Amino acid sequence: MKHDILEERALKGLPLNCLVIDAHAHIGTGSYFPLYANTARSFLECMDRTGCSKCFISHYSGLINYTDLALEEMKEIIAVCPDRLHGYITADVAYEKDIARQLQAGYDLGFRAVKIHVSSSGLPYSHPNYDRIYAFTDEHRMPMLIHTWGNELKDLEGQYEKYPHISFILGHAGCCMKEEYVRHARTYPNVFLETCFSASPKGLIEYFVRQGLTDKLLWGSDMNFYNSEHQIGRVVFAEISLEDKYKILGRNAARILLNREA
Amino acid sequence: MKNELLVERLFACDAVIGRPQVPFPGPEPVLEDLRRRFERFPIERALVRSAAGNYALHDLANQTLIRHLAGQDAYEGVYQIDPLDVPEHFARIRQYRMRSVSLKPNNSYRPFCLFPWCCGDLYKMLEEKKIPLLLEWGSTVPNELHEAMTAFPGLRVIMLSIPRSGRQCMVEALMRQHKELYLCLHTRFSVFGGYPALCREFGSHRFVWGCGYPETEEGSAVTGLFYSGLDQASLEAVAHGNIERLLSEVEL
Repeated sequence: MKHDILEERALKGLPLNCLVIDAHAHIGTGSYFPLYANTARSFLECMDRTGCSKCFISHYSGLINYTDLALEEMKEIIAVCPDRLHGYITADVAYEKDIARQLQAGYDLGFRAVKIHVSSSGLPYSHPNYDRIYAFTDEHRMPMLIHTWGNELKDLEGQYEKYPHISFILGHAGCCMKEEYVRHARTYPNVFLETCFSASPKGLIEYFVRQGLTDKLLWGSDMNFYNSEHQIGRVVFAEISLEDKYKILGRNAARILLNREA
Repeated sequence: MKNELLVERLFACDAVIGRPQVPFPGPEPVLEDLRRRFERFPIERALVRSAAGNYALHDLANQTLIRHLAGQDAYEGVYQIDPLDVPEHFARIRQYRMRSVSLKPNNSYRPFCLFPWCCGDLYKMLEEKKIPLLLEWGSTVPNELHEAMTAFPGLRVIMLSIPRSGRQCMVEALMRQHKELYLCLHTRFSVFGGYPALCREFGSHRFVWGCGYPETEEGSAVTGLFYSGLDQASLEAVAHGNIERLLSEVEL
């Protein structure tokens, strides 16, 4: 059995020797699930094992209307290793008066990407309260990671052209309604797909690649809700070319999240 | 390839072949497909159940499994059992040389529960013969299992498909109280830091490994184990050693 270099390293338990960027992670107080490990140090240890060089993190509290607490904790978390740990800006979308201040506070901490999560308030992504977040993100030409589970796509579709400077990254792409994710990514140049899905169904990465979306796929783990070590295997052992794996694991994220070519 | 693998070999404990109720996209999960998928890693050994077992149809499950797995011995069939006619079941287990059984409780077609008053004769036989019982968490009522393992402390249970949403209070409580309860660490048990934490608390001898064939990505299960940070002895135990020991102790 012939293996590519990434498969060979994974089968030996060695860190991957290519650029790996995790586009989707969480940390801090306020996790829905009880966790085994929830520190910056545990993230870095995990990243060292897999070879992941950078991780983009949103704070749990910032996704459930406690962004002020999230900002305090994120300042300390990112300070542990600012070269490798990057924060997502969040805002309490249900509390309109706080949104502008919180967006700016995240930006002032040096965060250069935004995360929104529909279950933070129950408000659909088409609700007017989100307009301020979209406008801020668009103004600063930042990427936005969006929690999706299929049904939210219809609320997002009106935003893509309205805010052309946002790179919309649809989280958990293909967890259901995979054809709809493909349609969005194909139709709109500023829409991208993020891969994390703990159920790890067979063949989903290959499906997106077959649909011509290799340049629009970003690898994410959902660490520490879920396990980065599992999620990376979905790409490493996908039956796709080595070049496609490099793009999905890191090169696309470097372009979209770090605004640099890798 | 063998010498380049992190562990000596991989033994998957949760494979299923045969026709699922709703066909999967892609190849049908038969022996040829399983072999092709497993050769990539390579996963050398497996315990294999029949998809017909999902309907709790033990006669169909066992018949189809025997046919599917004929002519090879790397992939070992799991006998689908129910609480009725235990002596007849055991005779067939011996005849087929199957060293593990699975049970589908709380199903609508052949309803039974795991309480000892319902399955006591079966547990007695499995305990005496040291035959591991494979159960899916989704069809297991935790309190029923607790009563069963309290009444039959030597009963060896391998729990499959434990949930993936963080730490599991009930699973951990059962593990603390029942020393012959084993967990299958599988593709979907994707809980950050879970493998080392569980092995520290309960000992790595309490865990086996699975890759969710045919539903989930084997590669995800492989990296989940290989990058877990477990020491080499624990990796070998989980990857193959524990299940090999359990099967070797079966007395048919």
